[in-house]
Amino acid sequence: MRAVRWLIAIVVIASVCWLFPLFHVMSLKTATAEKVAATFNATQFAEMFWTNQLPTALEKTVTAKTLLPAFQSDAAAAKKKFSRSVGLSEGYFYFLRGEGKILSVSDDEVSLAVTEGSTNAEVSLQTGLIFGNALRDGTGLLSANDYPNSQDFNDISAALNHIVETRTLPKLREQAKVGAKISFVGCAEVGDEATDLKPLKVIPFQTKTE
Amino acid sequence: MKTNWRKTLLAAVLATVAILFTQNSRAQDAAAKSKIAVVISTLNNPWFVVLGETAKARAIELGYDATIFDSQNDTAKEASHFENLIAGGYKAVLFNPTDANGSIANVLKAKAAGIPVFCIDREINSTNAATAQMLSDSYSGCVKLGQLFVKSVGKEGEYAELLGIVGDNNTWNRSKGFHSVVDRYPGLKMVAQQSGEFDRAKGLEVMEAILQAHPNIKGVFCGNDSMAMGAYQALVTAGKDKDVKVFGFDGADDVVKSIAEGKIVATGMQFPKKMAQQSAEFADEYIKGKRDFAQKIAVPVEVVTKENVGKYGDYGKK
Amino acid sequence: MNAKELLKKLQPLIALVVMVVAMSLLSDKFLTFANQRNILLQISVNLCLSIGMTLIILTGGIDLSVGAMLGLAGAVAAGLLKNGLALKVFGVVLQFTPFGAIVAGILIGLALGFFNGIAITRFKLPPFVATLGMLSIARGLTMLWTGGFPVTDLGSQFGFIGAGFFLGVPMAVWISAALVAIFYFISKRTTLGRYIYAVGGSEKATAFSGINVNRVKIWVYALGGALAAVAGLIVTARLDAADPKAGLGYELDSIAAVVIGGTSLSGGRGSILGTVLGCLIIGVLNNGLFLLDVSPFWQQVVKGFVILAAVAADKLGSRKE
Repeated sequence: MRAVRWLIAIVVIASVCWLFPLFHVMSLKTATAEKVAATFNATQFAEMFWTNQLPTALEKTVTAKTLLPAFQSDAAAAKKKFSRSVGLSEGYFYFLRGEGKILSVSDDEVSLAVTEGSTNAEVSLQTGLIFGNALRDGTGLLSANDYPNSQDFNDISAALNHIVETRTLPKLREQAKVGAKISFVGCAEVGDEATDLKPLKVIPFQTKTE
Repeated sequence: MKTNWRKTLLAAVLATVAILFTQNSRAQDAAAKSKIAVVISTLNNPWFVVLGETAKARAIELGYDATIFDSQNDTAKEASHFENLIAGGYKAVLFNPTDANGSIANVLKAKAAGIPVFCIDREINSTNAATAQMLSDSYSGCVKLGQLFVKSVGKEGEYAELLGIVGDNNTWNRSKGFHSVVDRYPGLKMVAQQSGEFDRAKGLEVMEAILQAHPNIKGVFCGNDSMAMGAYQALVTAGKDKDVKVFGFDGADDVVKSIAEGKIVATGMQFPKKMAQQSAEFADEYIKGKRDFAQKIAVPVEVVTKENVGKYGDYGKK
Repeated sequence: MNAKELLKKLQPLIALVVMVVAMSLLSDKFLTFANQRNILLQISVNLCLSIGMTLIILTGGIDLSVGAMLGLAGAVAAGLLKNGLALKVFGVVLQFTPFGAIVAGILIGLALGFFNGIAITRFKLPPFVATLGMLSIARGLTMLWTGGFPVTDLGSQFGFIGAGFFLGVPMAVWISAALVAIFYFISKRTTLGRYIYAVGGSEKATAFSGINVNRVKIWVYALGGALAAVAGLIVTARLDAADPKAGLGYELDSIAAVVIGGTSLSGGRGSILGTVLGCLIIGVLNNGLFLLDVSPFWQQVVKGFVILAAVAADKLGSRKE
């Protein structure tokens, strides 16, 4: 009697599991591959941005020759006309290009004179370790609104900084000689107008010496 | 005799209800006003109390009736609050989410009921649930703190990190921002990384343990100010408060004071009052017809140090 | 049954009626359908926990681990559903269906409860200590399983048990109502039910009469674990996320509901229906304090006093008898 009861129970449970399966078996490889595909890859994204999106955005830049005199005469007006900022931030970004003569070269910056006949360092290209969001936020191409998880958006910043550090900067450090002429495209973050405008601290995307 | 105490009990219950009723007659007077709900993740941390109270005060200033709900860091309690406020006819929610993922379902519920939700300080991992999210830019703030950390601790030595609650987005945004800088200096070695759960007592306890195992650390980076105060207390007890540099995050009043006194090196000032006020204003604009809000609005974090501490206080800029 | 005893039995009911009348006079929102539905939905989780807790307290025990078991069962179900179970040795992943995840979650609860029962009966640990240990074990396992992060995005099929509706009433309410019916039947009409009351009334006498007391206790704790798991599944489904912190402190709400419902902490006296009333009283109180716009700080104070008042009433009542 007892054995029969057990048998019935097992048959019932087995048929329920047959009708409503508890799980499906998948190979570990496909499952892992699916998971990797589903997670956001900031390095890959930054790479795409670098090769596809960024080159087309260069016309949106303001030239240093226009920008420098503009903020020297009226910082507020220049900020209004040429800069962009994100959120409720008081700081802002310039996305600019220009040419200049190299005045000095140090471990973490290359100082340039941009306006005709100037001997002051007006722009300083940053060549040390790159931190912050100037590259991500300065171009206006990327918006936090597109990223459900802001950790992903922050990872893009780090990935872009890494690309600049590994590709743009080594070349720049090698080619930068005092007295040489150099052209650049980059982003500048202005947090404190008292210190960040003179010279304007630019993180370069591209540089070219002649 | 027996019925006596029972009557007394009933009378007590009724009296309690009556007291509550008279205490809250304001709610009845304001029956004509639209109601705004302020749902806060926890009121166990003064920083969040300031956030909630400010949002409520601003909503009242703008002519609404406002109520604060305490989710007690429990997404299920938060779900109950949302159900209640939807049934209660609230017109907008100023929302400080408990969990970036776990709170999404709650926001979607309000959205389905046509109630706008404005996230304050903490985000939810979704771009189509809340009407707008005002987020403290913890990552960038901690990048700046990381740079200052390297400058004041030096490019070589051992340090420790106290993380917040491990499941919280802010914990990792802060930690990642900090490490995006500090990890670039191979001479700086993190010898301990433990969770102090954003709690002062827990921070103290964890720091005591870390000091036992690693007496030579030169700095400690804390994911919030409560833990920073706890860690500092542990250092004082161990007689090491002069040797170990403490960094916090939040901009709590006691830490700003400690920075002025040179006890703590720096903190990241978030602006709870500014964010809370702005969220109430957004809700007001929404009720008056505005619909186009940016989804994620970054609110910058400023680094407070001994040099500029005079400019800060009272959970913001003076 | 004399009038005195009857009055004592009806005490939680009277309290509930008084509260409902008071609330409906004080707020016009209270008696709306949406609000009543919310109250039922919000007590459904505590109800699941409290049914099990009632049985346990009836045997003279206590279970402090229900909140932690709730968290673990929810997390395990969510994890199996979302990520599956990787068996590295065989190079396969068992991708669980929603049904499979639910079954696994309940089995986990059953197993943990069983462990509680073994610790209490075979190793003679006091229930307070044994389940306190389990509280820590289950919470730790939850953290290990999830890595401290919530498991989210579980899909609408699974979500149905927490967020779905049937005939205009939330599924969670149907589930808890069904469990109330089942366990009311078990407690009143089955041998196990009679044994539970007997064990709580006098353990020695029960053992003398040839009943296997340990077996009854193990069953009761295992059922308590399974019910906590059901509560965990409901919480997880409602939020579409398994939060590793889920259920923190829920054991206290559950004990409160049982006690307010008139079940004696010393065992043998009380009922499932009383516990339902206890849950309703807490639910109405939470909801009412909110509708009356009472500050969150005061809410906690008021709730504490209500619990004290309920237990005081119980104690005063039994002293006279």
